[in-house]
Amino acid sequence: MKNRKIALASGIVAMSLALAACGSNASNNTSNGHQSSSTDSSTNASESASNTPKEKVPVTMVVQYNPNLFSDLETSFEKANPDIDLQLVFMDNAQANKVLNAQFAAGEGPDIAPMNLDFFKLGYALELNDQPFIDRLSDGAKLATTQADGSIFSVPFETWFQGIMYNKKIFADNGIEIPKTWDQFIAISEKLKAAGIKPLGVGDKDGDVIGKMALGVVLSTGAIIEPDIESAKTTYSASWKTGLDKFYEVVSKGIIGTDAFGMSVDDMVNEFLTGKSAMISMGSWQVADMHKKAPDLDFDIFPYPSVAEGQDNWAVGGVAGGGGVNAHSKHIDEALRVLDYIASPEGDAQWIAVTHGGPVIKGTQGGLDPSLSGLQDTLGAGRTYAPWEGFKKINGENFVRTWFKTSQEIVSGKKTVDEGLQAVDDYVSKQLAALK
Amino acid sequence: MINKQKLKETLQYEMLLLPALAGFVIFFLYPSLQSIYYSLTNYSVNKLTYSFIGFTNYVEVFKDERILASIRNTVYFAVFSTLLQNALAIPLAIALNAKLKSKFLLRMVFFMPWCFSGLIIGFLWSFILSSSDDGLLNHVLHQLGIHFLPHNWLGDPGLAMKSVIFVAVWQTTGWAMIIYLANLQSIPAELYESVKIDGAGKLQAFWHITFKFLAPAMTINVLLSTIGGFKVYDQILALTNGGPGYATESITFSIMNYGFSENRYAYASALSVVMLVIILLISLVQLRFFSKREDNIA
Repeated sequence: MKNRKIALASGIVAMSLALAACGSNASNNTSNGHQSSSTDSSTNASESASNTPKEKVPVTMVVQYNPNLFSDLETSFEKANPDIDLQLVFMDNAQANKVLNAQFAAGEGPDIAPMNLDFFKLGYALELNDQPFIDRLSDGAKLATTQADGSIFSVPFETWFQGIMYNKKIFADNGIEIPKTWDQFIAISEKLKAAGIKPLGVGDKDGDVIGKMALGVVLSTGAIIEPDIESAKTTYSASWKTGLDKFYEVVSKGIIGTDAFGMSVDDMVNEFLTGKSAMISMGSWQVADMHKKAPDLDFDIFPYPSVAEGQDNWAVGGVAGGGGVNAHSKHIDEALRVLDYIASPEGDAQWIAVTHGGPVIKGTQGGLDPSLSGLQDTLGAGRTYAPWEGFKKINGENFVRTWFKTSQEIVSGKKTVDEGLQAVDDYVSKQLAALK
Repeated sequence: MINKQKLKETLQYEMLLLPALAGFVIFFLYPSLQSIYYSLTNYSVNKLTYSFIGFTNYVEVFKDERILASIRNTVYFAVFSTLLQNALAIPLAIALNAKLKSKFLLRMVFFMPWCFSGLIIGFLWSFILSSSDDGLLNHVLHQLGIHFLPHNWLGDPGLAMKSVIFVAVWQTTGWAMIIYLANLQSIPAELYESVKIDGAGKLQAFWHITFKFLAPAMTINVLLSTIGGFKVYDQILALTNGGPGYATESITFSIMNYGFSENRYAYASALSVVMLVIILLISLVQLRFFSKREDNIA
């Protein structure tokens, strides 16, 4: 009898522990919450008038940079908003989509996070059209973030851009000129190889480095075709073939190979920072970290060489850095106040001072990092584009991840350029068919 | 005639099973049945008001090149990781069952990798196997003058899956060794003495006694490592992210992609049902075969 009582008590304790482990933490602000977006100012006023110390409202925001870099911005924000505890959380770009999807589906997730069209359709992202900070966005940023039906669910904090970074000393010592065409790029790479220097460091474990570089070169043959792709007026097989045939010559020339798949982006950057490679395809978001790791390295950047003479050189770039508000957040009002602060000239200036991106808010002061000055003209001429950000009907993030995998198959010889392009067109057709 | 006293006693014990049963129903049975139901619909982010479409998803699954490749990769991984893990764990268990002063320390050393998550082990080995100049393994091999051995361990499509299998076997062999060790200790010593008297050598003793009597441990290890092999995800994510291309993508990778990236819930559910059926069939065949072996011991 005593054993039965012990056994029964143990069973109840075990069940309680299991349920407690599965339950959400009460102090975690990411569980189910209200959906109202209006600010209850009367409640705030009465609370601030009270002499009882008020607990700060925690607001979690996903960033895709080292959160420690934003301490000044956090301090300024919390000084202006003493009732909010802003908590920045790092999430890797390659996995953010899947991780957030699972969290949002469970009714949890951070208060502010990168949002996409699918999240909006599923009701995870709050509509932001009526928010005051939307009208502060520059025309280009507003256009980039507005969906086909006019809805806005994400606000960017910066423009990002990338090109080919180069070690200025290696270039000067070997008499290398900035290449304008892909043939010139191949020629300087071969010259560097002959001199015993690794011309191009590539860390393509996720497929994004080679994938985006290829797109940067292809843009010179005709950019911003995504509206025509979505309306079936053209295909990638028709539009990208010439550019990609030229780009992938670097594989047959031995400048890029499958060894790139065994290296991560960190490996690639570290090689460049220690002078082991002359060039890398990299962008604004990495510059802060690079300066911190190698303050004495003198490097600059040039836009992607064009396929043929006489064509424009482009940078790959778009809007990034911000996000939208989790529609199930417990602290929607506070999350909107965070966005309101950063999406202001002062807040945006603080943001891009860290990330070295370009401004998105009208009136933001901020200059280009000296190591990114090589893109000054390209950026000024508006020759910055990210094809996957041009989609309004299909999920661009999923499209580009499919492209990255296809690019790896082309480099490894599993697919030809034509087969790769066909695979990409088939993917787009399937996604568009699913919308019907 | 029902013995009321006996029924009452039985029910009291059955009541103790209720918490576990409730957990099983809520966290496994109900979601599984729901997945099977969704797999017969067109539920996705673009069809939130879904409708029944029968086996259309299943037909598409077996036409999808990417999924077929992931099934091939997964079977390859499960078969070879199971074979290698058990082939290494048995001699290791025998060696660490001997009278060694350091056997407890060595058992701990070999078991320790299993205590860490697959993701951490994957990240650790991705640094060691990196093809960059700082990749530890290639660097050490170059320093030792073994210039023919350094390879593109994770980037070569022909080598990448083999590298993933190596890391998985490295991590899990210690765990299998512990199960075999426990079984070894239950083999009566008299059996070894009697075969010694009959003039049998060490190899014969291993084959006729040790290998035969390890049948229970082998059943558990082979079954669990096969099932674990079919579910592989975190080591692949950390080591290769399914690349290069789709060369190391597993079924779970495809499910995560279709379910959580593309939000095609019904399609991902169909794939998970296919995976369930494959694992179920293989497990049943294995159990039947290995159970017969266990019966032969008796």
